[in-house]
Amino acid sequence: MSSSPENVINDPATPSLDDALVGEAVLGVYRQMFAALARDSGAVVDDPDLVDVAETLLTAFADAGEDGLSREQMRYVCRRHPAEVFENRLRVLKGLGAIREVFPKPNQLRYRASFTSVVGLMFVRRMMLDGGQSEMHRLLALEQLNVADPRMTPGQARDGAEGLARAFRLWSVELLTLTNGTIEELREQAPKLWGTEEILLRAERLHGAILRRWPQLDRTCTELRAAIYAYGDASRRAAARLTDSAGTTRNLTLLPPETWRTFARTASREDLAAVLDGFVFDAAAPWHEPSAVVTAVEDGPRTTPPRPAPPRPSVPDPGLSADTGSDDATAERLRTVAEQVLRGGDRVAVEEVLGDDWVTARRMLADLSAAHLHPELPYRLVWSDGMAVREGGSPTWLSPGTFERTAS
Amino acid sequence: MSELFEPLLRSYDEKRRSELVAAYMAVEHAAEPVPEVRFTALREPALRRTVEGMLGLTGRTLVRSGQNEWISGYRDDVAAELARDPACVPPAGDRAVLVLVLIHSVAIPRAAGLLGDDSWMSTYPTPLEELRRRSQLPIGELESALRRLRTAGLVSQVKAGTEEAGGFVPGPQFHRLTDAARRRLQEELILAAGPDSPLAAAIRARRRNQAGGNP
Amino acid sequence: MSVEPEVLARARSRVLGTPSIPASEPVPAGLTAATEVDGSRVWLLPSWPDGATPALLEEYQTAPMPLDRPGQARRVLAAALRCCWSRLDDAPWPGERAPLAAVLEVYVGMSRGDSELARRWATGELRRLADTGWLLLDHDTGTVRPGPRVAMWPEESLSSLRDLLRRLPQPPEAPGE
Repeated sequence: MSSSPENVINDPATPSLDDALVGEAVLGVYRQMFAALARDSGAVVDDPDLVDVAETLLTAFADAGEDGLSREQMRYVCRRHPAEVFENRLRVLKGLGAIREVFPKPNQLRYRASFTSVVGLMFVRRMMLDGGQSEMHRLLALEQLNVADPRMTPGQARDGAEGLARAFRLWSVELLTLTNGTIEELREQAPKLWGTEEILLRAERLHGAILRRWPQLDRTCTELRAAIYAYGDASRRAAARLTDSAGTTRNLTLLPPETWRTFARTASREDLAAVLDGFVFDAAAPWHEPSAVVTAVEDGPRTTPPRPAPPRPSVPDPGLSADTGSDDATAERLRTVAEQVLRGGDRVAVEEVLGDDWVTARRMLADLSAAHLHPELPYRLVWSDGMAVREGGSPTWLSPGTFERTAS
Repeated sequence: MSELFEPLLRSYDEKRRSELVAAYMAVEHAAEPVPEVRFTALREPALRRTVEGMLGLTGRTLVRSGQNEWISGYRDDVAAELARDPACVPPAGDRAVLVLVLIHSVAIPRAAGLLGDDSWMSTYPTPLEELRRRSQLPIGELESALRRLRTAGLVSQVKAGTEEAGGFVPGPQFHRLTDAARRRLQEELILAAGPDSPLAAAIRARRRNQAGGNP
Repeated sequence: MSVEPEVLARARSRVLGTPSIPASEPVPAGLTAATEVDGSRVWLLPSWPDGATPALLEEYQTAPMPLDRPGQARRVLAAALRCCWSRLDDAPWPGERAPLAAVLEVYVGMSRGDSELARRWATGELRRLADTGWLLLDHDTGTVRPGPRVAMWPEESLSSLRDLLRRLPQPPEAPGE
């Protein structure tokens, strides 16, 4: 994405702190992933920008299709990066086979990207997002399929189980380390690391399947089982430390926004209400001191302003009746009136829409002000100061006002 | 007017006595936590203890907010006892709407890293439209519930400005929850929205332990 | 460790606003009682120390719980009291019954505005005043009475209110004659 021209233009050359942090995170995952393949510790890039060059190039290759890219085109999409950085990256990517030279015509040099490298980068990004949770899900699902595969040998099954056990062990260690660290870091990192019930269930199921088919692998299976339990325990410890931690809303961050949204949208009235079981609140008990009643009357509007602009209530007032069933019908009627008055426009002067007789005008004013007051209808009555005289009209004077559509 | 507070107030001179009464009335009726600089009886620990004693007579307690502001709320044991009485619990529809406001105005902004303070107050209004369109609650019920919640100070309405949409945020009554009540509210929300999360498991485990620890 | 019953009863009355109990039941200690006219029920009200009321907050520049349109609510309350607290030398509680229509008429007379709109606002306000214990509405008979909360007004704070009510427009028909 960073290669789109708009971004390049708007983006100053110096990356923001956020960019840097995200970049560091990518690199962290990248280094860990390829540590097993690196020749020495200096063999993995140490500048987030360098990953960005690769990603920018691969994106451009994907867009370019089978023609590939020329060297100039590659340089162009990477114009944000200094020439020497670009040259250096290109050399490495070529050397490792991520980008290949092709000669579609004699004397014409083009470049193509390798599919594998793109997949690799996707993998890196995914690992970064959820710390391997979904990768673990995939692996478990794959192993489950493998176990059912008649061609699978006990040796392969053992290797698979041992690999999983190792992953779970390391995962637990990382979680435990975090659990003993600062609460802030734990709160931030734990959701990527700890096991959901589902991962644990899947792992147990796989363990059972392996054991049923190859009872001779009981040793390996015991190891796997122990690793799974250790991981479950580490998850619980991390969660327990967080629930015990000081703070009365901070742990809400530990469920992703989407989980909250789903709950809000799908939960029944009873499920929602149950959250507040056991809580009591004060009844509304406003106080009206006798002297305040006196003041309210004495300071009250002595003469009536000629405009219906009382304070805006939150929700339409149904009056004495508790029946709110007609609110919809009211809103619909007001909407119809408002739209008739606006006639497709966004605003209209109030004086234009008032008829000549006072009864009709008053009803219209009442409707427009009700539409204004209705919290769900996107209309507004705006009055300006001063009064205008309408000769022959009714009322004969009026503050200049506009009835308008609000953005909503 | 009443003998209720007499045993606690009797020993104080007139000045102290009126300071105690002022502090008591303030924490019981203010919309927001009151700063102790304005009330001698909140500032001085010994007097504050008497205020706490006065509140205790009606099942209330002092709730500290920030470093030096105070308000009152129900004692946890009293709230638990009252909540068993159906007459004391708001109707299900009202509670459901209030929970939606807590989710949209506090849980989601917090999960998105937008809220700084560790509080149930929020500057992110829940749009009425969100409640209407994307919840299981009938519209008529929503509006009457919001009206009641607002009158009781359980939600506040944020008016739409020229730029931002209006909506509802948790109201001033949320200042009055004790620490334990706030924490429990957080837990109940997590248990309801993410029952399978490790966090929910930890909450359940801790509650089991506590229940087993003191039967 | 359980909560003392009186403490619980006092807390409960705050949760419920202005609950009532049959007059045959004892009033929990530490609550103020406002007995119904016919003596059948008793309304439970909080007791505040030394005659203080929440109006005290004003002296300390401390805002009370927010209230929508307090001015309008209090004007409607005044209109209602004009009708159902007619023997002004007595205490406002328990007062007398007055037709809702008379209250609306007095309010319209006070506000001299678009009477239709004024009536509509006043109607909503009457309901809120009833919800919060300041008035008692009887939907069947279309009448209103002072609510138990007015019984909490200290006698010495009432003189200016009495003067005011004498000056307000006359209800259209004298109640209870």
